Amino acid sequence: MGEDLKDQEILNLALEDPSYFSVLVDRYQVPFIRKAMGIVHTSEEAEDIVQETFTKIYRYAHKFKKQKGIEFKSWAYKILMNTAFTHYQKLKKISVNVEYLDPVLYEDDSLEETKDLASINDAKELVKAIIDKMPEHLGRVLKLYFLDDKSYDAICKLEDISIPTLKMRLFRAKRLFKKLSTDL
Amino acid sequence: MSRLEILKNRVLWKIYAVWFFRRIVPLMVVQVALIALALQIFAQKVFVSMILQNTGAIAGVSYWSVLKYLLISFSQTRFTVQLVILVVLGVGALLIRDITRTIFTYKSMWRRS
Repeated sequence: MGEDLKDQEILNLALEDPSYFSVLVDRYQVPFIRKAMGIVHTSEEAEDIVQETFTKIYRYAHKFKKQKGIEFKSWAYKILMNTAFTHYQKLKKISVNVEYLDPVLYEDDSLEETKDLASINDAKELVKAIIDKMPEHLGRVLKLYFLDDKSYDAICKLEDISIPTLKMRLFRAKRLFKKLSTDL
Repeated sequence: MSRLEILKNRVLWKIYAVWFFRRIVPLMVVQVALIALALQIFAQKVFVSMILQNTGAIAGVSYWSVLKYLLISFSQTRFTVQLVILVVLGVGALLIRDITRTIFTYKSMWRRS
């Protein structure tokens, strides 16, 4: 029931009868989890984000009606991303090591299964060890951008290079990082 | 039960709670307050224990007599009391409707999923 309806129609029906909302949960929970995992990298956190996102979607559904021309999907994803980044910021406060979990820097599947901060600390050590093995100029930009959260402009000033050069260095650094981490 | 099903149930629980506290609770609060106010007025205007005593005495005769007695009492009482009784019955019916709706929605929440 309700499977043939559009997302917006289901959302409107769900305001009167919340059981319709299960159709939206069926449609979006898997892609939402995948997206959230791309940011926080732990399944528990991702599930919390998805749960919060669905609740927000339902809570603010009446506001969505007023914005014509905006697809439900893009609106829902916007809520998901905002919620995910808020969670990410909280995680960052708990442990400054969260930035090591950037997918480009660290794509080891075993890390996805780790759930405690001790494992994140191990990852931090690992990332440090890999960066030390890299040529100095590449390791430095990688560290400044991903670990110190510096902007492109700030790094360019520090390194006295242009933005295209920085982008190229970051690209090469990430590629090398991947290679070194798989060799370990 | 898979992780996805557990998550879905958690989400649906939250949605149900949001719906209940947003849609049902405010209505119920107003309904209960109206009934309480109406009953307070009723208690001030009507000698309730005497009515109950009379109803008890007639109940021994037949149920029809009880109904007849209540209808006659209602028709002969003051307009304010009649209005209060109608308000209590009307709002009470709405309250029962909302309670039933809450239970049915709760059941259909997981039937649909």
